[in-house]
Amino acid sequence: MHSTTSEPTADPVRSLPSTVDQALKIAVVGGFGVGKTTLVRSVSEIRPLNTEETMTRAGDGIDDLNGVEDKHTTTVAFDFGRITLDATSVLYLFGAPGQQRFWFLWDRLFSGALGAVVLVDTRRLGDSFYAIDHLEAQRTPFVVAHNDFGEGDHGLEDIRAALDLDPAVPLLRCDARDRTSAKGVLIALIEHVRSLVAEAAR
Amino acid sequence: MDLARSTWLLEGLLERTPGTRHALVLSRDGLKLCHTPSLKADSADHLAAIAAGVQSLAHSASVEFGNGGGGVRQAMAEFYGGLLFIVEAGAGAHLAVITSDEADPGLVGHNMNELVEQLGEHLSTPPRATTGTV
Repeated sequence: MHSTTSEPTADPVRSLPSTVDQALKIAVVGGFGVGKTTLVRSVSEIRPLNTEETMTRAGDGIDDLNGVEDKHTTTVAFDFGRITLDATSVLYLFGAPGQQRFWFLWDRLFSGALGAVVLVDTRRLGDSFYAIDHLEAQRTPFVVAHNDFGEGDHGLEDIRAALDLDPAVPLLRCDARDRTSAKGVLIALIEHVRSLVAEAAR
Repeated sequence: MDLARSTWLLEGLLERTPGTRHALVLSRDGLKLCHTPSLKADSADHLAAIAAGVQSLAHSASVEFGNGGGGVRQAMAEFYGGLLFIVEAGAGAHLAVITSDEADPGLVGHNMNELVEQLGEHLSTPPRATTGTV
């Protein structure tokens, strides 16, 4: 259920407008099973690059499915999608795999990224610590999005406290399956990056 | 999967293929299933994750640019100091081999496919049961 998107065929595949001259790279990170692939799929206007594989019994006792029992597939390389913001800017989305065994991929995926989205799930908040630490250490701007699958039962301030998140880091709620909601997260990130740049220029 | 037998099969592959250094069977979601003793546990974990990612990307290339037949015959990487070969093994599994510079890529690929054809059923891992808790 969790990996179905609200409008799987919402936009017909669009070709990149010739006026685009600004390509922005965004990384989507977070723990195992939090909805990173779903988010990239929801917002991408091209057929997303998909590296999901069926989870095998070799993962019993390693890939913890508590709270995400319906999950059958997992990303093993990365997700890739694209969304055109306006006539001149296009976002390229790179979703990293969540499990520790794939962390070695992260630095390459992050290099050159304008910013990152950290997806969190309150059932498994601890899974996002590595992503947040890593981004802070790299000084990559990021926003944290609580993927609540449309059912908000946790206060965002509780989540901020539990994650020990810097007050300057935007924290918002989203439903990764919903295109508009997922797009809102990307817009929040762009605005955050813009304000950081403006601050630095002051 | 019978671990001792599978490991023995992998060792046989290395013995009859000059220039090969390590062989590993991995699940398609990136976990080691068995490997030759030449490969330390940490390296085996790492190779399993790498090979799953490479195969998955190769599959995407096949979908985008292949003839629609689907599937990946072989993925290969040539780096300074060696080569990496990956082929599909039994259901849900891949076979990865690391060789030195001196290996004959044709022979390595041939021997890997031969092993898979003969013994694919030993080199497989089924999907997880539908209930997720472990």
